[in-house]
Order: sequence, then structure tokens, then C-alpha cells
Amino acid sequence: MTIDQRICELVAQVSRVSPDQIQPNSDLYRDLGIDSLRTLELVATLETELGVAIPEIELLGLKTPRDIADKIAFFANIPAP
Amino acid sequence: MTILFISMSGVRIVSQSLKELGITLPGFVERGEVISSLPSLAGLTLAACTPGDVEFRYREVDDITQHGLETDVDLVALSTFTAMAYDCYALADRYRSVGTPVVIGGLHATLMPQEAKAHSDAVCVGEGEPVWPRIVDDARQRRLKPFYRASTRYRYDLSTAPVPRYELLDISRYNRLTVQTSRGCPLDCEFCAASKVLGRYRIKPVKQVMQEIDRIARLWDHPFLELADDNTFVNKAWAKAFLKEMAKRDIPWFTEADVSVADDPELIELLAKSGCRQVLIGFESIFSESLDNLDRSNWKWKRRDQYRRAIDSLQSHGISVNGCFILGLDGDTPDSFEKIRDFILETNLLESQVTVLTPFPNTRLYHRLKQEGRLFEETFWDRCTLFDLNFYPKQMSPAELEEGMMFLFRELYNQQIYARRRRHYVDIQKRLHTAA
Ligand code: SF4
Repeated sequence: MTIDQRICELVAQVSRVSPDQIQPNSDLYRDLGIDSLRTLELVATLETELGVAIPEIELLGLKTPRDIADKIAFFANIPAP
Repeated sequence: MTILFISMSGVRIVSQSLKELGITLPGFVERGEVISSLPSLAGLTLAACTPGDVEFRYREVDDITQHGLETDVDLVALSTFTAMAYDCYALADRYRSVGTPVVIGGLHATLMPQEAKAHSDAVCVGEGEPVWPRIVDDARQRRLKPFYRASTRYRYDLSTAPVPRYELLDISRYNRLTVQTSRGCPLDCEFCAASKVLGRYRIKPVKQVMQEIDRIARLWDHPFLELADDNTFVNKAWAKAFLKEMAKRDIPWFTEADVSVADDPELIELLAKSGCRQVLIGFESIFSESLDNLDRSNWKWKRRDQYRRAIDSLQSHGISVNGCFILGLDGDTPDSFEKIRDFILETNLLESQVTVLTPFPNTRLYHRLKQEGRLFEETFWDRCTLFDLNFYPKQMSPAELEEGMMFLFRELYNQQIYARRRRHYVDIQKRLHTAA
């Protein structure tokens, strides 16, 4: 599974939107309803499931699962998707 | 016949310095955005009470501002909060100048019916549902009466309320939809306009509430609900039945309650399982002198020692608390602001709302301050924003109160502090996630 797919899966878990409806370029807020409160749940889920520490502030400006994947890659020091 | 309903929504601040500071503060901006983008439940409910042969259009006031007056209608219905009353009147005047009859209702019109009548053909005083069919019928026959008053003796029975017509909304414009489960509040705080207007506390049967929620879920694949209640969990038996139903649906939601929501561990467990993400609690103050006599039975004063435990119980279950505090109560002094900040930071409240005491028209607070000669002016409705000061505080100067509010804005809503409070909540979520 690619990091893109894994992020989409975790975003699906938090947003309760079916994973097959989530694309790496889906809009987190507009298409998936992830508002600031759910951003925090998303951070918690990402940190627990992926074992990375993400300053939650870093996720505030991110718009898509692909943006998150890029950021996680940066914090986990792995190549971006 | 075509009826145009215009929702006068929006959050505003008159004070320039607060406005400038506010827009730079993330915590402040976020709640403002949420509130200003909530649809008007009144409009959607009236739509459901409108006979089927009448076309009912729902608009936000911004639509009219951007696209101009829609004049191919037979009746314009406006509902407004106090802070938007003058904008509402200006819009009503414009419609009447082109010959379209206007009816005004809502909280402010109910508090100030004669004033609203000066700008409208008819005023709906009190709850809209019982009188709306009559208004529509009279408008159709061009014989609107000046006032339509719902009985205050026999309050509207919420079990007969129709499902609001959510399908009228362009849902992509909203980030939350509202559902009402109750009206009124038994506490009757001195400053509260809503409890004065809505009167006796009433609840909607759980089955009916769920019908509304299921309607929303059919229209919207990732709903977030905001309960449009003043105090949701007054009746604990009803609350538990409602929460058990919500748990079956897995829909995130937000509501307002009093501190007693945290009394019962079973209720908290159910709340957490129900998808509730945040409870807004009107703590109002942490000072005994300020809470004294705030509500008729001094309920909040008696509960003041339970605030910390309540916040911790709820937040440790993953239900974030949005704590509301009012500045400028009679027991507040220039020393109060630092203590409020410390309380909020020590308790790790995820969200907090600090607002200034506001004497809404015709409330007990308004009449008391007027009698004591403490109002700056008699009418100041555009300044009833919860952020603009309109009276002389008892134990400090107006400037001290305004500076204290600015201090709290800077201390509570800045990027670093906000990030710290959010991190606390993320850590709780991680713990819960791992435990699950
Ligand atoms: S507790 Fe809230 S809703 Fe109830 S009377 Fe007081 S301010 Fe109004």
C-alpha cells in the first residue's frame, strides 16, 4: 500500500466517507467535511497509526490527502509520494 | 404565490480595534465562521408550515447583498437577531418601497414588536409555527394584520413541529446543519433574551428528532449537526434515549448545555459514544460575586465549584468543551481577567468564548441597568454583538473592561496558546484511539 492510499484510508476513518470516494486530491473540508475539530482527530489518528509526530499546526493549511502525505513524508523523513 | 425568506445571519463587531485584533486570531475566527455559516432553522421550519401551492424561497442576506433585490415575489419574510436589526429594517424598507409586503419575525422583533412594525406590514411576535399559516393566508388575500402573536399561555407543542425543509438549502455552502430538540431553558438568566422569548422549556420527542436527522443524512453524505438548543440535556431521561439513538448513526454533532451534563457518568459515556464532538457550556463566570443572582434560582452560583471536574470528565472522554465566559458582570474587577485566563489554560478547555455582558432589549438586565442609569444609550442594537460594550460596569471603568477583553483575546486565541490547547485534545484522542 502506498502512503497516499494509507492516508486516504485514515482520512476515510475520520471523515466516515467511504474510502473508495476519497482521492489523493479530494478537498478535506469541502468534499469530506473535515473541519478544524476533526482535523484534530485526524492528527491523533495519523500519529497513532503511522507513529509520526506532527505539530497539528502544520496540518491547518493542508487541503488534500496528498498534502498530508507530503507533510508526513517530511516529518517521518521518508520520500514523498 | 411566492414567499421569499431572508435569513439575516452574520457575526459582527463594531469596535474597530477588536475587529482588527479578532481577525488575526485563529480561535476567534473559526467559531465566528461556524456561526455565520449556519442556516436559519426558522426559515426552513416556516417553509415546512407553508401550504404546498405556495413557492417558498430561502436566501441568506449575503445573496441579496451580492445579487440585488429579488422582486418577483409576493411576500418577503425576514428573521433577525438584535445585532442585525438595523440591516433588517433597511432591507425591509427597500422591499416596501418597491411595493412588496414584508413580515418580520424572530428574536428581536419579539422583543421589540412596535419598532419592527415601523418597517414592516406585519410582525410575527413569538414562535412562528402557530401563526405562519394565518400570515400566509392573509398575505394571499392582501389583508395582513399588523401583529400576529403566538399564545404565550399555550406554548407551541414541539411534538407537532414539521420536519424543516432542509432540501431548500444548497448544502455545499454550509459546514453544519442545525436541528432543534428543545426550546426554552428553565434557568432564566438575567441577561438571556432567548429564554425570555421562548418561555417554558419543551422538548421534541426523540423519534421526531431522529426523523429530522435522518432526513439530513439522506441529503448530505458527511453531515455535521449543530443542535439549535439553548440547553439540551435538561431532561436526563430524554437525553439518554436521544444519545442511544445517535450512537446508532455515527454522525458528529455539537450542542449547548449546562454544567449538569457532566453529573452522570452514564450520560457522559453515552455522549461519547453518540458522536458528540463538542459541548458548549455557559459557565459565565468563575467568581462567586459575579454568579450570585445571575439566574432566578441561583443555580449557576451553586454549581460554581463543579466547573473543573465537569470539563475534565467531558474532555477525557473525547468530548471537547467550549467554555463561555461573560466579562463585565457586577462582581468582576480589573483583577478578573488574569484569573479567567489562568482558569481556561489550567483546565485545558479546547475552546473558549469570552464575550462582554450585553443588555439585549427588554431583558431583565436591560431594565435593571437602565434603572441604575448605567446604559450608554437607550438603543444600541447594532452594538449588541457580544463584543461591544454598552454600559458602565460596576467595579471598573469601561476602558478597563475593554482592555481586559483585548488582553483575554490576545492571551487565549493566539497561535501558540491555541496550538497548545489543541495538542492537549489530540493527546486525549490518541489515548482513546489506542484504548479502542
Ligand atoms: S442557561 Fe443559557 S439558555 Fe438558559 S437562561 Fe441562562 S443563558 Fe439562557
